[in-house]
Amino acid sequence: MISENEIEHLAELARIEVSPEQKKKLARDLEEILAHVKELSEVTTNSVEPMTGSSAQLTTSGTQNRNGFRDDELKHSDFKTEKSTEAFPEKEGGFLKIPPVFE
Amino acid sequence: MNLDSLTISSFSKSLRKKEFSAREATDAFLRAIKDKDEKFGAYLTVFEHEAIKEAEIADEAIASGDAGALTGVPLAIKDSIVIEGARATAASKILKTYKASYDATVIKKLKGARAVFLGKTNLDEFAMGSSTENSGFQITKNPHDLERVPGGSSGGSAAAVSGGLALAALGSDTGGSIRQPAAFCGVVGLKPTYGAVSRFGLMAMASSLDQIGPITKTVEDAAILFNAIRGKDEYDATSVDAEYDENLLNPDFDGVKKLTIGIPKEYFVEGMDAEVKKEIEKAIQKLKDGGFKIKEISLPHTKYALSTYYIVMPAEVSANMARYDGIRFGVAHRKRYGGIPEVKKDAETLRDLYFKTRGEGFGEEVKRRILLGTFVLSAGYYDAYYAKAQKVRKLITEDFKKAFNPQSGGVDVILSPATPTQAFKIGEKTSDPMQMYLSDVFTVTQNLVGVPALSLPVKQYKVGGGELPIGFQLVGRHFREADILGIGKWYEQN
Repeated sequence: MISENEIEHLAELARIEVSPEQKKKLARDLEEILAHVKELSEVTTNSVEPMTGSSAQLTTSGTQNRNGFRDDELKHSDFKTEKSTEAFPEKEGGFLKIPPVFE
Repeated sequence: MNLDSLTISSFSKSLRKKEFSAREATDAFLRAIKDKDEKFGAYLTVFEHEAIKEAEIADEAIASGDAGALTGVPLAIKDSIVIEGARATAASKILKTYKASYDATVIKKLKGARAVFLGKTNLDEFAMGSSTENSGFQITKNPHDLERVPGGSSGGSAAAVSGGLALAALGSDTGGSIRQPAAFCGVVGLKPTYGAVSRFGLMAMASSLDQIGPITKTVEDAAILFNAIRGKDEYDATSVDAEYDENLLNPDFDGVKKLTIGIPKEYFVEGMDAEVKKEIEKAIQKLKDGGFKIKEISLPHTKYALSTYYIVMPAEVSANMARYDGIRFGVAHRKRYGGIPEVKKDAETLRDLYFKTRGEGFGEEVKRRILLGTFVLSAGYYDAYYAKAQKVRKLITEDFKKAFNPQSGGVDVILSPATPTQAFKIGEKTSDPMQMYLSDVFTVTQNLVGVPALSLPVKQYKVGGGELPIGFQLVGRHFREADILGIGKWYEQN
């Protein structure tokens, strides 16, 4: 059972404000989705190695890629920092500006 | 110039024969967008000035004899793929004001080929959805029936190509987002092999599943566009240096006919619409009559793919969406932005800024998936949901390995329906997320496994012809796009 309290906890972890009506709807929706995906418990997976990005045998989607290292050398780039800082909602002197961290 | 009958390949020939210029073609498409897009709602942004400039550069290239397959070709780009200096919203209010600071690798490649970008197309917010109704800005309609959805999430791209508002388009596919809208709109869509195309510059949704791919009018066009955007890229560590031979662009039909096509029985059991089933069976018969070997196969874990997907995908979504924090780009909950809706009082603390910006900026489906992903990854539930799903994902992958294994009499290509139904009505599934998710039941599997998949219409559909398109899907081995494109091209020409 997914309670509205549980939704509130998840929203807290994910840093999303949700209204009381949204909370109700989200609890119902998650309940329904989780009831459906619960069917995976019928599958026997005792000796199955999970397919994760960190699996040594195989990367996530089977491309056989291993760690994509490159040489640790300085590379020239034409990218101008200003292009990124332009996108900051608030900035000052090329720095990000944010409200106080501590309340 | 008849825009509807143009394909990338016929367009290039006409350009070279000077039947029209790239500038004239671009003008014609921009006019078509002006005339018709009010009806379809395919575009979020149209590049009137830039497109004309690009077309003029293409014309200069053609005049100096330096033209390639995509020179001057007017394309539409899904709005989750970035173009330097252009607005890129991913149809989310949280990025309402965002302008991209760089080109995606696929864009860089297409610019190098001197393609023309007509504009950015609508999608379900951050590519989360199956109908393009989840856009933060507008609803796109299916050109074949304006009361129906174009599918999603690349619904704007599919509608633009189908409605004659672009010669071809780019979309992205995490669980069917290229193939399902292509099927609904009667056009061709290719999800390449995981790793075949760089995702640098594609706003990430679920990184172990996302791929960029073409949406086109013909299979031949899909091959041309795929060939132009594929390749290893130092900015996407998952991209692979795969080898493709000339069969990718020019399939040899005698060779293609030696391929065996498997029909997985698990795809023909429940939930499929009778009309869709009938048409898919006709398509299989046509291939049989054409001399292809057809064989029934089994992919026993098929039934569990959708559930696996709806655990793995939201888990990755919840991580990827963390970057939209109101600090680095897009809209923040601060007065000077106007906010969403208008902000009366600035967020006073950092915590407040996160909660308010994300609470207002994200739509309902995005929130649902972030919370679902947060849930399946949280302590106490991780093993039962996420770890379990990754194990079942492994079993699903093993099914494909076995089916494709030549040592045990395996097949070369797998054929299945692309969607369980034809395009549904606008509003029909918006209140029940599980119903909406079920429309991806045939397409999520290929993303979990990473194999390439091509969706193509069972026959040619004309906008205004009064028919609702039906598509089928050809699935190949990893990096064997040539096989599915080869069969697809044979099917289309016969």
